[in-house]
Order: sequence, then C-alpha cells, then structure tokens
Amino acid sequence: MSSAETSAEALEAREYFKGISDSVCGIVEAEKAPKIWLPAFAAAVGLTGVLVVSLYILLTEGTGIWGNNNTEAWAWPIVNFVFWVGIGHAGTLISAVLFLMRQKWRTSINRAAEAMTIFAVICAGLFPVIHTGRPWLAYWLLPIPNDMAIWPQFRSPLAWDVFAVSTYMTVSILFWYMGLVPDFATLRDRTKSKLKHTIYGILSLGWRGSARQWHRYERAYLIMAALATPLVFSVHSVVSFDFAVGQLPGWHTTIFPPYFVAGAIFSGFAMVLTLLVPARAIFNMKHIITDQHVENMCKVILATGSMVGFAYGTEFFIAWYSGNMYEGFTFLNRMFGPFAWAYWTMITCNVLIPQFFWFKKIRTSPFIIVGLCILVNVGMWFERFVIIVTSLTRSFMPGSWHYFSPTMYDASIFIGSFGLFFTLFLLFLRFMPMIAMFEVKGASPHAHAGVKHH
Amino acid sequence: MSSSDTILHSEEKITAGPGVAKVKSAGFVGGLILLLAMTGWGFAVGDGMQRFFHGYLVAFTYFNSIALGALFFVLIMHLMGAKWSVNMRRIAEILTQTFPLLALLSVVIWLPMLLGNDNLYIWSSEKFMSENHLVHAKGAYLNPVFFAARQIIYYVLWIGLSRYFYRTSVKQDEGGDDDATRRMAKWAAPAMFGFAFSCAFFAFDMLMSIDPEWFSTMFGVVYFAGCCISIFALMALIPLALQRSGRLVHSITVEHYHDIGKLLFAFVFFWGYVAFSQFMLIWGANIPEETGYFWKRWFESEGVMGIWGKVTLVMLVMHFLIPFVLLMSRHSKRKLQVLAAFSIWMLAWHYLDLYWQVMPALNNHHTFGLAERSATGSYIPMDLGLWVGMGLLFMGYAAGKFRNVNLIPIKDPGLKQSLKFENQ
Repeated sequence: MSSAETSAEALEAREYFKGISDSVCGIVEAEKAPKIWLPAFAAAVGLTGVLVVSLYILLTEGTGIWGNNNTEAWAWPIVNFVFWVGIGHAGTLISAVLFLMRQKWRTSINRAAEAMTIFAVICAGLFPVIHTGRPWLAYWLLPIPNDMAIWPQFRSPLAWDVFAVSTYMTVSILFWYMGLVPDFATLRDRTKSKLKHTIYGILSLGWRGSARQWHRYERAYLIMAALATPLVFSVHSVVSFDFAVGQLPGWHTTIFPPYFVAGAIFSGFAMVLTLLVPARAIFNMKHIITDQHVENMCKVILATGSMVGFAYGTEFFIAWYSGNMYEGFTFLNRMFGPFAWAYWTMITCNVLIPQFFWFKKIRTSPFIIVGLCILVNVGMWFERFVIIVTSLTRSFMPGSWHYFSPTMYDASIFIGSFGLFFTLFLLFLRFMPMIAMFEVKGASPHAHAGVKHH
Repeated sequence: MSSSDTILHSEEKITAGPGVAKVKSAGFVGGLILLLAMTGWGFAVGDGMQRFFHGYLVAFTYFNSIALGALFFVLIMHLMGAKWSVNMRRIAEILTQTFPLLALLSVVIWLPMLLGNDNLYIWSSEKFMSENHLVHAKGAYLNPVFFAARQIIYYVLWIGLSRYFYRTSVKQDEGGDDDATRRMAKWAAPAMFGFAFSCAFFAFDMLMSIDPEWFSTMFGVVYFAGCCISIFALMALIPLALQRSGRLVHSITVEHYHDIGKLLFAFVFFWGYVAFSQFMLIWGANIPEETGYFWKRWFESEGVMGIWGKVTLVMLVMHFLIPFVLLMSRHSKRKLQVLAAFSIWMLAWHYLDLYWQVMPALNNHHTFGLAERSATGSYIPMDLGLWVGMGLLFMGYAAGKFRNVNLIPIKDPGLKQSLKFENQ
C-alpha cells in the first residue's frame, strides 16, 4: 500500500470520526434543544406530577385506593413491576449479549438502550416498594441483622427478586457509566465552558485515551459484559419464579423462565424502537442509527415474539395434557371467561402483530414500526395482566371468585410512571451523549483501514 | 475455473477420501450385528424385552437429537445470515441426511405398540389405562395409533426440510446460484417454526410420556438443549477428523473451532439453566403428580437417596459444572485437543442425561434398580450395546452420505467471508 493511499484513507477516517463526534456532541452542546423537546419534556414532567400526587394520596390513604382486594392481592402494582422490568431487558441484551456475540451493529443503539434499562428499572422498583403498603419499611426486604433476628424468607422467590433486581440495577448503572467515560472525555475536550469542562472532567475520571488505558478499558468492558450476560437471564427468570414456584393454575408451569426472558426482550426491543425511531429523526441521527439497525431490531422482535407464541402454545397444550382440571379451566377461562377481552388483546398484540415484521416494507416504514411496537408493549402489559389477574380472580374455590376492576389510582400511578420514565429519558437525550461515539467509531470500517489481511 | 473456486486454497481437498467407504461398511456390519445381538438377548430372558425397549429408546432419542441439532444448525445459520459458519454448514447438512435411517429406527418404537406390545409406554397397556383415571383422560393423545401417526408426521417434515436445504446447497456448488442462498434464508424462517414445534412434541411423545402422569412445559426445551450440545460437540469433532485425514485443512481454522466452542459452552449453560429451572419449580411447588417424576429419579425409598439420586448429582457436576467452568476460558476453546476432549465429554454425558430420563420409568412395569440382573447378568451392557450398536449404524449411514459430495459449499457467496473469519 502506498503512503499516499494511506494518508488519503486516514484523512477520510478522520473526517468520518469528526462527523460522528459533531453529530452526537452537537445535541449536548447546542444552546437550544430541538423544538419538540421542550413540549415533550413539559408533558413528561406533567405526568410525573400526576405520579407524585397519586403517590401522595396513596401514602396518606393507604393501598385501599387501589382495585386490589382479598382475591386479587397482586393486581396492577405487580403487573406494572413485571412490565417495567421486562422493558429494561433490551438494554442489557444489546449491551452485553450482542457485545459477546460481536454484533457490531449494536454500537449505535446500546447507549440509549442501556439508559432506558436503568430508567425502566427505576420505574419497576417503585411498584413492589409501594405495594408493600409501608414503603418506609422497605429496607426490611434486605437481610439486615437486627435485634429480633427477623430475616426475609430466603426460600421465597420474592426475596430473590430483591437481590436479582438490585444486582441488575447496580450492574446496569456500572456498565452504562463505564461506557460513558470515554465519551465524557470527548465532551470535556470539546467544550469551551469552564464549568462544563470541570463537570465532564470529573465524570470522565481522568480519561486520556492512551493506548494503555484503552487496553485495560477493553478488557474490563469484556469482563463486565460477561458478568452482565447471566443477568439478562437471571432477572426475568427470578421474576417468573415469583409465579411459577406457586401452585396456582396458570402460574405454576416450568417453561416460565425462558418464556419470560423472551417476552422481556420482546417488550424491551419494542420500547427501544418506540423511542429511538422518533429520536433519530428529531436529532438527525439517521446516518448513525440506520435503517439497517431498525430492521435488525424489528427482526429481534419477530423472533422473540414468535418464541413467546411458542410458549403460549406449549402451555395451552400441556394444560390439557396434564389432566389437571384446574389447569385446564384456567386456560379456558382466560380465553372465554370474563377477561377474554384481555386474553385476545394479548394474543393479537404479542403473537399476530409481530408477524407483520416478516415484510421488509413494514420493517422500513418508521410510522408503522412505531405503531406496531406500541401495540407490542400494550400486548406485553396485558400478558402480565392476564397471568396475574385471570389466575387470581378464579382460582380453586369458586366461593372466593371475584371480578377485578382497577380504580383511577391504579391508572394514574401507572401512567405517572411513564411520566417518570420519559422525563429521565428526555433529560438523557439532551444532556448526555445518546450514542456511544467511541464504539461507533471503533466498529466502523474506517477504524480498520490500513489493516488488511493477506 | 470460476472466481469462487479460487477462494479455496489451491491444494485443498474438498471431498471425502476412500476411508468413508470403510467406515460405512464397518459401521453397518458392526452396528447391525450388535443391534441384533441385543435384540436376541432381549428375547432370550424374562423381562429382557422391557429393558431392551427402554435401552433402545435412550439410544434412539440420542441419535435423533444429533440429527435434529444438525437441522437446527442449518436453519439458524441461514436465518441469521451467518457467514462465519458457511465453511462448516455442509457437514451439518450431510448429518441431517440421516433422518431416513432414524425414521426407520423409530418404527421399532411404534410398530410393536400398534401390535399390542406394551413393554415401553405404560399408557399403551389397556389394563393400565382402565385403572388409571388421570392418564386415561389423556387417551385421545396417548394412544398407539395417534402416536405412530405423529411420528410419521415428524419424519416427513424433517426429511422434507433436510432434503430441501441439502439439495439446494449442493446444487449451488455446481451453478453458483447466489439466489439460492437468499431462498434458503427465506425458507429457514417458516422451517424454524416447524422445527420448534416438532422438536418439542417429539420430546413430549418419546420421552415425557414415558411417565404418563408427569408433564412439564419446559420438557421440549430441555431436549432441544441436548440437541444443541450434541451438534456443537460434533461440529468440533467431525471437522477435526476430516482435517486429520487431510480434508479441509486450509478452510477450517482455529477461529471457527473457537466459535463452535463458544456455542458449546453457551448450550452447556443453557442446559443447566433450563434443566435446573424445571427441577426447581417442580420441587418448590411440590405437587404430587409432578414431583413423582423427580422422586423416582432421586429416592430409593422414603427419605433414602438411591442410585438415581447419585446419577442426578453426577450429572449436575459432569454435565454442567465442570464443562461450564473449564470451557469458559478462551484457551480451552482454542486448544483443539481440549475442545475435542470436551466435545467427547459432553456427548457422553448427554447420553447419561437421556438414560436418566428413560430408565427409571421401568418402575412403571416392575420394581427396578439400575443394578437389576437377569439370568444372564447385569443389563447395563445391553443398554450400552444398543447405544454403541445404533451409533455404529448411524455413523456408517452418515459416512455414506459424506461420499460424492463437496464437504464445503464452494459457491456459497458467504464462503469468502467465512474463510477469512477471525475472532477479535
């Protein structure tokens, strides 16, 4: 290779790298956010206000303001908890599993997806805590040595959940922050403001980008990814144990762990697309989050949606095959009972809707994608609703059967949690590099220019 | 010479040598002799046929898991558009050509049952069904005719799928039709649906119904994990054997083996995950019709752990913990002797896994211990003889399929990338 060729390539690469930094940092450095950001932020903060007010009323009045009753002790708070935990899974899958699989297309979406994971887990954590009824005693969930030698029930998956979710939260934050370090350093080096220089300087932990730092960084990142990978499976498996360890028909079934994991990834990717397809248009990121990325995510949704469908089918067959009359009844009750509308919403949204992604035309139409993904999220919320509510409302004793109706506060807290989620996400979009710049650069062909194998 | 011919090393040998003919005839002769000998043994002693059928089922589901794993390998690689594995895909395609043999072997399971023999599945006994209300309720599904019909459906599907992908790929070798790759990727998607359901239901029929009261939605997934373990072990061993005989020496590198090793590791983990989840959930809920399965596979009598409990613990250590810890390292996947050793290791423990699933069900027929002896001594050699015999037959049949075909899809548009593949 001639030196002229090399320098031309190097020049092109430098232009490309600069282009990435300019577009990603540009969002953070801009004086003004895009026009739509402020109204969106205001709306999100408004919804967060709804959450705060509802929580205030909840804490003063007690959990009686919900639709929960003796038959239906779990209801919406747990539905919402499982829903939000599930949403988070896409981020970990993209950042850890796809990293281990050397799927380079992940680089343009992992940062935003990881952020989404953290925000979703925050929303998820809220629900079991308020569901305890006395959130100020929530620390009792932790095994803290105490005078009365009272411990959590270690044999209960609910206690495992505390560990699973808090581990997940910790690792997700560490992983996310670790990825941000080199990008914070980029922001630090670009900024002209002294204050920002200091803030980004502290956040970037003295990153200089030397070869030695990079070497260690990449080893550490690999180890973090390897540690985070089991979490993709463990968190939602443990969540599924919450149900499956019990004996309640419709809850106790062995396929739950992998089926919940597939469902979590399914709903998580749907949320990633719901957020990123508009975001890439608003912030002009189409050259980084390309149509190919969007298509790939649609395919992941199709694959995981089909796995979920497979699990539904298996469960349904075994419910009959088991010869257990309660099990059989539960499934027929789901289909034709008082909550049939919820069941068929779930089937339509989770099994049928993703099948549209077989068509390339649909995988490349942004509006349709967002529409379908929202429906997938609706379906996944209903999946948890169907599992929890239909099984509880009509369990073994017909004498305790009870229809469940949510109250206004069930709805306002759930909707409010979206406000919290969007507030955090919009702040992230505005003040942090929404794309892992150094990873996109590293995965680009320019980074490998001049290194040719013969 | 077309352009795609030149991507292979100029001295690369891409067809199998005369050795396969020898493997073929030796396998057929040895396999048939052993199988017939075991059949004779079964007929000769009292409860021998009961033991024979159970041992046969273990061996049969074992080799079927290899073929199903190979089919999964072909489908998933097409579906994902994987390039790294293109150079190895033909080997899996050839392995899927064993389905006709397996279809024939499956007849031994269902034909005697149609003729009224109830030595294997207790639900095929009319007396049992009339006494057992719970299983009787499943009679619409668990009856010999429907069972046989389902087996025929599975094999029609699997033979059809494996032929389509094999023939399309082999045809591409001649014409270099790039569109064939696109067509195969397209058909891999619906084929995967067929695969998922047929694999799970095959496992329900063949293995789960051996204890007919018992049920587990995870069961199909556990069998699938076994299919994957056996194929990824073989996808290390077969190329290594071929390379030893001077085939494909330049086309398959340590990079490819490394990735096969990663997949083997991943499915060792996956097997542990699903098998443990299945166990833990049933143990935790403690519902009689479910725990009975594990009771049989743990206790000898109330509160006393028996031989099967020990087997369970051996599996936890050998099938999961040891390979999980030792295969984690990059070095053990790239050191080919180590990878080969672990592949053989996993193939052995996969057999024990199926053995553990099937054999305790002999209790349905008569009180049974692993060390049960007949007039002719322990039965364990019969089980192993069936496994080895069917293995020889399978090997011989598969070896025949390795003849007269390129061992690498020479005109696949992804081959160039595959040959250059490197782990970073």
